[in-house]
Amino acid sequence: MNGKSAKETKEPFEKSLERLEDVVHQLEAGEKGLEESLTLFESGVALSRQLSTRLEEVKHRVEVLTKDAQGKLKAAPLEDDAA
Amino acid sequence: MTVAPAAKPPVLTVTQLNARIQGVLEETFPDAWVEGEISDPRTFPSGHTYFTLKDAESQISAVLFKGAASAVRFTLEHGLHVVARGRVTTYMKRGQYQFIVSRVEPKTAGALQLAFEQLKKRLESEGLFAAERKRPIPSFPERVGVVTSLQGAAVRDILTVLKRRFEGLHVRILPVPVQGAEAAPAIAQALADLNRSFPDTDVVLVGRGGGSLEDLWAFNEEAVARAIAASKIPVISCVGHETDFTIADFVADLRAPTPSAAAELVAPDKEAVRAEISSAASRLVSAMRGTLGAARERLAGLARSPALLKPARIVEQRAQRVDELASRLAPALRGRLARTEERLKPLGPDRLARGMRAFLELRAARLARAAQTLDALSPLKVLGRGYAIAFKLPESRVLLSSKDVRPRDRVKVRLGEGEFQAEVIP
Repeated sequence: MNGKSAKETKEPFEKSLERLEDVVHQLEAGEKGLEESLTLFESGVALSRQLSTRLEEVKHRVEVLTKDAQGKLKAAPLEDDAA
Repeated sequence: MTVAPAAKPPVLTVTQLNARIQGVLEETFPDAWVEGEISDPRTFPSGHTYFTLKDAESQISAVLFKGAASAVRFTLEHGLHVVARGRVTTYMKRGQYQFIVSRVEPKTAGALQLAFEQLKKRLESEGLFAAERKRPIPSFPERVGVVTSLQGAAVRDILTVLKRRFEGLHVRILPVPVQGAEAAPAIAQALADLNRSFPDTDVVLVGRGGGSLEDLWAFNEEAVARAIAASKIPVISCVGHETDFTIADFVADLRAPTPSAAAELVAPDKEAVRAEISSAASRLVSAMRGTLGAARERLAGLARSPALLKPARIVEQRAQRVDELASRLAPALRGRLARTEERLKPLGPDRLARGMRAFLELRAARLARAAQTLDALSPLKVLGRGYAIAFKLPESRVLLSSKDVRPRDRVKVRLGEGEFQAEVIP
């Protein structure tokens, strides 16, 4: 495993999207107090911004995994116009 | 009479006899085809399988040695009707003759078809196809493994679809041969390697383009089936065309009819995701607007409540009383002024009247100021300056001293704008 870059420690996109959905549903249910609603609202807005940024930021990456002499899997970018 | 000694046949040892028999048999049946039913097959750890071939009338011992067995895809099962090719020889040690099988084909179906059915049945009975074993496919994978050949159309199809649907995936391709004898072990190994070295892969596609049953055979082999079952990463199988079902398809967590279809299943549509996020954002805003509106409504309702209106009413009444007094005072004063003027008229000096008027006007102005002060002292105005009134609940009695409350008493606090309830901390 090649270490922990900031990207890998990030919450999976799917999880964030689920949380956003959850925030929207909670807020739409309208059962929370004003303070709590505001907090929810703010976290929801922050989440949706973060998600949009991530969606546009991600780069397409195609790697080919092959074994090296030690039998360890190594990733190399795909050198092919297929990618 | 004498009996000429007959030419005695030579006495053979048992070994010699058996060797002769063996010679005769091998010479007579070097290559024979025989049809019959397999009975009581037994495979030994050596890899050799011993069984009996029989028909209604007769039977013969048969052996399928390991070397020949490796070319037989299906399992020799009791009761299976086969056509076997081989030679006849003897087992010298026991003096038994037997049929050495070099090839065997099932009589009723093709060998591959039979092998497929046999493995399918076996794995199914082990529960490898059970619905509850299936891992869910993540709806939003970020890292996608692809186990297939780099040469085939499948890898191109997959990459094209992935890129079109969602540019921004991290694709990991594990190149493997997808046909021939080395394919199945390579595919199984690739799956194991991916699980071990890149366990953060969200989903893996395993497959190849379409072909004959023989071409697709690797995906019907037990090694591949076991590797798919053992994978912690969810597996989508995508082998060949729509109609080809392989063992891999049964074991996989999800079966896609083609490699392109697998890519469609796995890649979220970026446009749809974008729309989903922006719809969530606008729903957030409108929900918040609604919540704020409701809160405002409630506040207005509370402000109209009689409890809160009471102090205002007291002020109103006082103000009214001031007005009333003032209005009564003015004519009274004016009357007095008039009368005094009248009385003073004979005395003549206008100065006095003017002085008196000035004095009275002064009084009137002070009265007006007093009324203003009274208004300014209204509790509501005071609240506007940052003070608060605390009411003890439930009776809504105004609190004047901290001694009037006890811990856990509920109080209502009225502010310049709005109010809230609170509990006295023990």
